[in-house]
Amino acid sequence: MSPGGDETHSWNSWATKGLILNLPVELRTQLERVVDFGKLRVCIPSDLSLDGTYGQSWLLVTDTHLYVADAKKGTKNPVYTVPLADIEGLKLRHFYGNALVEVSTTTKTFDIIRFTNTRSEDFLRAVKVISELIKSVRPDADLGDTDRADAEKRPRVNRCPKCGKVLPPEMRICPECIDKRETFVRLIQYVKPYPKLWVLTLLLSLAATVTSLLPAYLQRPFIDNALADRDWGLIKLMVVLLVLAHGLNALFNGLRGYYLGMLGQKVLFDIRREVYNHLQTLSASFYDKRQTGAIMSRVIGDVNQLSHFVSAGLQDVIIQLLTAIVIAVILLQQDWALGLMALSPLPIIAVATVAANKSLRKIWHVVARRGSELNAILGDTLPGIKVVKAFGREEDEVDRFVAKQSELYQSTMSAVMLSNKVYPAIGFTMALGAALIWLVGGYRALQGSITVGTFVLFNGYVWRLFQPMQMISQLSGQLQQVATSAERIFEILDTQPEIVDDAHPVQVQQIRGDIKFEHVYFSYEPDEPILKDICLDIKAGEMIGLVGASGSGKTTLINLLCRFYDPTSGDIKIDGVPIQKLQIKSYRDQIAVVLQEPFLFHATIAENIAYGKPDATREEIIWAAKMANAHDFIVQFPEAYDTKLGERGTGLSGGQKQRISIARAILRNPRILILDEATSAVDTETERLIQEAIDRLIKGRTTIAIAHRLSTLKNADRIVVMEDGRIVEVGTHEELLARDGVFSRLVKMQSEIAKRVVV
Amino acid sequence: MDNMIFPELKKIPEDQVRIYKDDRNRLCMRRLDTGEEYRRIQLSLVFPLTARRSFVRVCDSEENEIGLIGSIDALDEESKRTVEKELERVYFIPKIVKVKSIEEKFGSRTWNVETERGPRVFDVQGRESLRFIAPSHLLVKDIDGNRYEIPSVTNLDPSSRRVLETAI
Repeated sequence: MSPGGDETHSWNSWATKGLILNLPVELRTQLERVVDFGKLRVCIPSDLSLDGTYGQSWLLVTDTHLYVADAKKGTKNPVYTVPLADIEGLKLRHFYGNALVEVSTTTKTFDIIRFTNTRSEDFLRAVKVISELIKSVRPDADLGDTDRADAEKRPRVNRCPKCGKVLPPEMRICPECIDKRETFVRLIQYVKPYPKLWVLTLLLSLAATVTSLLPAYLQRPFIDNALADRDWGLIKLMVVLLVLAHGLNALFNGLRGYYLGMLGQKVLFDIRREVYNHLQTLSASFYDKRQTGAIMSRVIGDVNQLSHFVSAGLQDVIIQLLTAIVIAVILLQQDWALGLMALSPLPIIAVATVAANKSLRKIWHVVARRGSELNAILGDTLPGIKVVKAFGREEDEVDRFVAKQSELYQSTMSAVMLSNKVYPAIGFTMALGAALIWLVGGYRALQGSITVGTFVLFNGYVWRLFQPMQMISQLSGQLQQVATSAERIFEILDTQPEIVDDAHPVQVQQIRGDIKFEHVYFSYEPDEPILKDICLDIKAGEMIGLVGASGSGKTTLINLLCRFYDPTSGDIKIDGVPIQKLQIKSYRDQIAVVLQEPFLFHATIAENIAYGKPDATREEIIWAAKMANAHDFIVQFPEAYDTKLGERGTGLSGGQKQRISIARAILRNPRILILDEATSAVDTETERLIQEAIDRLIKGRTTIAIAHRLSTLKNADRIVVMEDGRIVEVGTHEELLARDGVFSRLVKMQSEIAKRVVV
Repeated sequence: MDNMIFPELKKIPEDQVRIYKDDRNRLCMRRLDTGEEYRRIQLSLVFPLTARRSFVRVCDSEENEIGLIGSIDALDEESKRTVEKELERVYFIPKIVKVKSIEEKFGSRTWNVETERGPRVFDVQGRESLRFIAPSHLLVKDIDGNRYEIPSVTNLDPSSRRVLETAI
């Protein structure tokens, strides 16, 4: 792999991992005269030349020199050399769709290599390595590193680590490369807790299979012995046996169906619980990237698919296989030549099935994805139906839905088309096999080398032999869907929450409420830092007003404080302890949030108030509601505290929802309180009631209040003004007004607007 | 912020209160400790479904809250009977003892039931109209907003349970 890099060198080998690639032979021979391959640290290709045509140049770096080599044939002087000691500056510059490495020496600055975004990740790492190398020969060099965001990995398309193909959106597994066996083995784990049930159903299935094969087997003695010998007694016996076989078969089938259903439901229950459980542990970032509807369709639809397979599907496969084997054995044992003939279509069918399924699998992936996109539209627009109506966009929404639906239709139809090309063809092949038995078997019966009974038995079993094959080939179509569903489920289960407890978390009983931000940086997407160098010291019990234009980072700051995300760098300390050290649950128990759009659950008012303290007594609930000025309107409802709210709290006005959520926070009795614009969009009287409730709530707690209406922050001990991810001003209301900065400008603006509104 | 008012629960001590009907059949309340007397009081439950023997809200004739009685059972016998009788007037939730049939047509379901107050036929629409207020305690709301309850679904006779199963 490495053209001469010695692993024993003190250099960290992980740092250069993947940065030494094989040179084309021709180039290597050319370079051997110039480059000391023993000290090679970096050897990677670009995909652009400096003039902007696609092609390969190579960047090579040893401990002492940097080389750029052009792989294009016929280049006169293919190597460009710069001694590292001459380099004063090195910079990777990202542009639109391509990037460059720029080098400055004492005399000039120039581009040395150019590449597209596809290659930029390798070069980023290479530049880091080179910077280290330069530093060791020339400590004074200005390695004005790429900026912070660039140093992280850029957002990129997800590619399959195995085959390098771009993954379908929302998927992290490649439909090409999935190991189906592994998936199925994993699925079978879900049956494990029910070994008795599983064995019982399997035994019942076996019994059902055997009894279903008996009648055909009885045909031969019936024809060859009973009929041929005109033995009335034997005929009666055969009739009894036949009825018995059918009777037992019915019994076994019935029992099997019942227990299989039970097994399926139990497995369904388990998988769904596990998935939901896991969904609850996942961090907020998981939900940022996905639509709720799409997740829902996985929990419901895909899990259904799975449980069906784990219980019924898997047994079907086993039973059909067993049936086929038993019949094959019987046929071969009756007459091996004719038996072989009956089995002859098998290989053809097997090959055709495998081929068809490979294509079908891809199509089913598309179908599943489009299905959940359709779901996502529903999950998106139905909750927002009022917005849709208010803006008169009903027809557009229908169009959007229809468009997605016709995509789903198209892809489902291509699956339907393919399977209806293949499966009838397979059926026809089977029929040809049966025809062959008639031809050869009929001829041999005429000859007398087989009895009429044997011929009839063959005839009966041949169809029974093809039946399992046909079912297996159809089942394997289902298996594709199951495998797909399984992977979509496993993808959720395999997603690790980003925010996890420290190995030795600090359990907190009651915090004081000191909060300290120390040089906190944060970005959701690696390229766009949202918070930059946030330093803030909040004393326990202090009320901080957070002000700034939308997008200035206020909400992100709150998200970090709730530990929905961890800072990209820097520290947040609670009572002097880094937030990551605190046990998440015990820390969050100390926080309550009152949101601008309070989220109420589909439950009673009492349950909603007690959401943050499920063991609250009724008396506490009433007290909290009174504190929040909510009691008076609650008791006006006929069912008072037992009133069940609709989804997201429908049935209540905005101000009422707000006060319920304040009551919720009061009952929780948090040390840290977060208010997000709690008084917006309500009438004056309601605002007074809410403000009063809030004043009671914040007393004695560390409070951070986001507000656009600056007048609501008069009570704040200090006001923090944010702009573009940075804190630009901190001070009391009066101080900031006197300073004539961002805050006073905002205040002036608002009061002018207010004046105009009054007039 | 200094003149902040913290509301109180205003609990009325059960042993210091008498609730009675006066000679003009008005509902009245007298505090033994303070001697205060209220006429034409109104009673309601704060948890009318989940706690019917506690948290009685007492209002004056103007709907102003006088206070809360924590537990009906802690009242003296006469007051207790008076409160029970009044609440029975305010909250009419007949118990269903037998479900004869539930038939579905055009999206609504017609229930034919036997209640403790006699037979009744009513229409129910939508899933929201059925509500379990405890694991086996079902509350039913009909199209006109009348309420019925089945205190224990599991204790119904088997035939009623079978009929009910299709609806819940």
